[in-house]
Amino acid sequence: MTAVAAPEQRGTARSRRAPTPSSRRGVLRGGWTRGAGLLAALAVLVLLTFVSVAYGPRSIPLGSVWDAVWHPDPGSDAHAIVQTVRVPRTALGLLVGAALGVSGAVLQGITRNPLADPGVFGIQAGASLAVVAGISTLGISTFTGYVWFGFAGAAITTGAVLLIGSLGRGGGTPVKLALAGAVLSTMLSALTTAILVLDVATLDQFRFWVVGALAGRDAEVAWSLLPFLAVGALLAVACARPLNALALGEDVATSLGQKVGRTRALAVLTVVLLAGAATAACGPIAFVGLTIPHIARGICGPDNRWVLPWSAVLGPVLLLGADVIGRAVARPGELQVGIVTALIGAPFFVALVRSRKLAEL
Amino acid sequence: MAATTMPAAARRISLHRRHGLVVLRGRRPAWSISVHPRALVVSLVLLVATFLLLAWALTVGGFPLPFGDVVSTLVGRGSEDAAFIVERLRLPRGLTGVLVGAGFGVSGAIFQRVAGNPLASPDLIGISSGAAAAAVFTVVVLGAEGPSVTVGALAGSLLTAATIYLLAHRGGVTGYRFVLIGIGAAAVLTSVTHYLLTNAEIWEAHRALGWLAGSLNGRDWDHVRPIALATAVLVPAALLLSRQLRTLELGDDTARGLGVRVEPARAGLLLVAVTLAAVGTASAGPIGFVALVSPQIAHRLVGGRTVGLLPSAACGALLVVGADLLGRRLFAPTEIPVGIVTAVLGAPFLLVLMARANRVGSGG
Amino acid sequence: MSEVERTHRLEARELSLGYEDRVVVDQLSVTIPDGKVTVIVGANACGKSTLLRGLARLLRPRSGTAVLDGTDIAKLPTRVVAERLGILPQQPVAPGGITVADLVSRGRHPHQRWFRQSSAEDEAAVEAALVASGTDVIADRLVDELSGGQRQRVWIAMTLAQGTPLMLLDEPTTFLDLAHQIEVLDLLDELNDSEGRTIVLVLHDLNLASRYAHHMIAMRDGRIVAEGPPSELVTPALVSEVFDLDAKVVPDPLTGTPLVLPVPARHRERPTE
Repeated sequence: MTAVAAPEQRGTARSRRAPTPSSRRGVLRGGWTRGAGLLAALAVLVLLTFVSVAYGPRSIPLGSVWDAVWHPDPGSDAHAIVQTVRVPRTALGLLVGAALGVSGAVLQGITRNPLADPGVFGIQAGASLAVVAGISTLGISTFTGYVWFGFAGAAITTGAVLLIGSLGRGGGTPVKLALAGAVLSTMLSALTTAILVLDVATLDQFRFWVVGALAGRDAEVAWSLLPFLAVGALLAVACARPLNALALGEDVATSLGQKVGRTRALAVLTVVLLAGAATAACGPIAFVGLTIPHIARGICGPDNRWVLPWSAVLGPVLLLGADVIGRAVARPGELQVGIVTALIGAPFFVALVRSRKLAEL
Repeated sequence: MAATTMPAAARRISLHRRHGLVVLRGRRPAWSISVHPRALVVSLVLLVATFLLLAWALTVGGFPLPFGDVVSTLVGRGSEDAAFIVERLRLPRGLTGVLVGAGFGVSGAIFQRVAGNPLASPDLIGISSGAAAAAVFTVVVLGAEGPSVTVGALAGSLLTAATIYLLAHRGGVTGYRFVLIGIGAAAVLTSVTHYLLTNAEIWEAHRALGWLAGSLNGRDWDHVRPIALATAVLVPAALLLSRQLRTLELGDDTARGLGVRVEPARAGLLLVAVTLAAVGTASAGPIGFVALVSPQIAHRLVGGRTVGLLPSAACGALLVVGADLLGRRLFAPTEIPVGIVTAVLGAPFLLVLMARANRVGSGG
Repeated sequence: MSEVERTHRLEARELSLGYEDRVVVDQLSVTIPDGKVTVIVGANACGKSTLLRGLARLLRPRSGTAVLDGTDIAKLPTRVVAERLGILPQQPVAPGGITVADLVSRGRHPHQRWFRQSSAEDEAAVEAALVASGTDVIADRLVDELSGGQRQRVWIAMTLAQGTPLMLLDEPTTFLDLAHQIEVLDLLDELNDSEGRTIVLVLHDLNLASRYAHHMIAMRDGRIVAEGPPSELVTPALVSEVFDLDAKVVPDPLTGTPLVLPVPARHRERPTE
């Protein structure tokens, strides 16, 4: 027992109700280093934001871009492009990236499963079916319209997956939840296919939503996301400490005074709000929710009070980065962000499953 | 069962009953086979039901044929029209269904026992996604139709399976790692499929979607032959390996202690299961839940014991033939693809099974 | 030398075993006496289970060899080994939905082929195993429904049915209550006595080990600290060295074997400043 405790230990002593799992420390330790690191990551994000706004199939000089953002000239074509295409796209990338990153971290925390990804649990299939139903039956054709339908579908599906996967002995083990999600996804996907086979017009609309992209969405979509994401973000903040306690197992958490049931409900709601809305707006984007929390944990350790903010910053970094790559690789067209994240995320996922740390699963 | 006039001890087949099993034993050379009577009975009953449904399927359709006509056509004495309908359309379609269903049933049973989880299935772990991505690729990018799509799908699923196996191999493959990497692979391949669909003409995308839905429509003898060959080779192979499977189920250490070469046995079993699933998917598209549901239904019909391969095969065959018949007739003349029927009917059934299994505690 | 060889079928020669980059058992040499009950004891993580698994070819050695009947066990076909040596690993898991008789009969695997699935010898061995382990009365019940003690006996029956002259069991009594522990150990003792099977056990309980072992091997940090009959081996000095425990050793009033009595903390002598 040293006389001067390290900043980390001081922090833990203060938070008596939610001890931090100390098994795996991150690269950065201590409140100050983690905070500084976060600011650095934020700086990277700002830079990336600027790149995203400045880069596009049509070369627009940087000065013009700057003007377009802060002092838009209604008559200029270039300014119009920046205002109506690139800024909304970038904003959406920021929002969706943060939403997916944080929801992934929360989901992994609540299921105690490092392989949890909102997509793997059926949110995407649920949102898809709802969107298709909306297009087919009610003629919904705006992305904003998709948001509401998609969200409803995602919410119902998540509930079903968690319910089914958690029944019985052992609770939500990784394989049970993953397979429950996969079963439900396959069923919903079959229903989706059924509608699409019969209704070609719907197929023509749907296929551009389902690939997962930031393109084509206007500012209205971003605005319509905000309420979901704002509430979701607040709930996520409220979840952070309870999730730390839950990491030690439900019995231990209960003995520490945590209300496990309430935490779980809170977490599920957070995931649904964040991931559901994000998927509804931009279509299913794989692997962001899965890989970002891992990277965050690798950097700052398993304390969710740090993992969540880091995920909120790293998520958009990945998403905007993928988007820029997608635009760069396929000029003058683009490779949709959904497929770029899949191609980047898959090797990471495989490495994760193969790694020693998963031996106990 | 030949009782000869040789001395009693020399050549005789004897029948024994022990702990619910029937054992047949013979001498010179010493051989014995143990059979679970209920599993055998269930398999036979399901097979008979399958062929009855198949017979019925030959008579119904856009041009209904009385059963007598069907029989005379099969014998070679029917009218030309009837011959065309029965022999060129309905019979190959039905036989494809039977073989695909049986193959999926066996494949699903092997996967579930190797993974030790009643919810493991070839279509959930990326093999159908691999077939789908490859099929859509051949339709959209290569502009192909018919047999080329089948070949493409087969190549896609085998390549996916090999990749998953290699990625899961780390001094050996645990069923667990295989399943998890498979789920990840499925996600990637689905993204690829969606991407290909966005880059296609709408009519190409629609045609690709038709394959993706899983259908027996238009399956003729060109489809039946390869899958008949595959089934004839792989199902007996699976039965031969079932002894190893029984012991593998006890865990790697125990199995090794009992003299099983764990890695080769598991690799062999997975190879058989994957190839059966790949050929089935190539022939009929990804037929959702057959591989998942048939072993579970068979398990509940047979009761006790672990999932048998033969009952699963019989159950799978019955499901596919039944689903195809339903899809053809329910909203006639519109055909609902068999893949959709199996998924829409199979999934709620399966979810109920899961909920009950999880409650009982055998879910994983 | 040859006399020693004739009485040993299983031995380790300079055996090193480990996982990933950790060496758990370090150049260990030991011979397992035939026809006796050998118990391996030691603190947690001293390598006793690892040693057992290495002897049973479940773990490939980093260096050195495990030797069965004079041949490197890694070079023997695994089925041949399975006919001579049976191993019951820690906490085995049975697939759901099978009966006791089914599980026990799977122990006959090394003697069976695809065309010889259940011979008369197999049947006899299974019946004998069921009777010897006292599980014949529950033979048709599902393994899932049994208590921990019953399940353990079923697993032992399976290993029995395998019919091997050598049986290795890794912590067969952990998680069993005292009555069941005694039951299992009595069964193994009886098998050794009546059928002359060589039994190697890993046990936690030093006192039970002292009672049942003919030969004891004490390990620490992957090495053998001492081996021999319990009456010679189990001394306060050994207990201290192997377990870091202060204890008195008295003769067990019932069996005469060493009985280890840990010294309670309150009674320990205070260190003089």
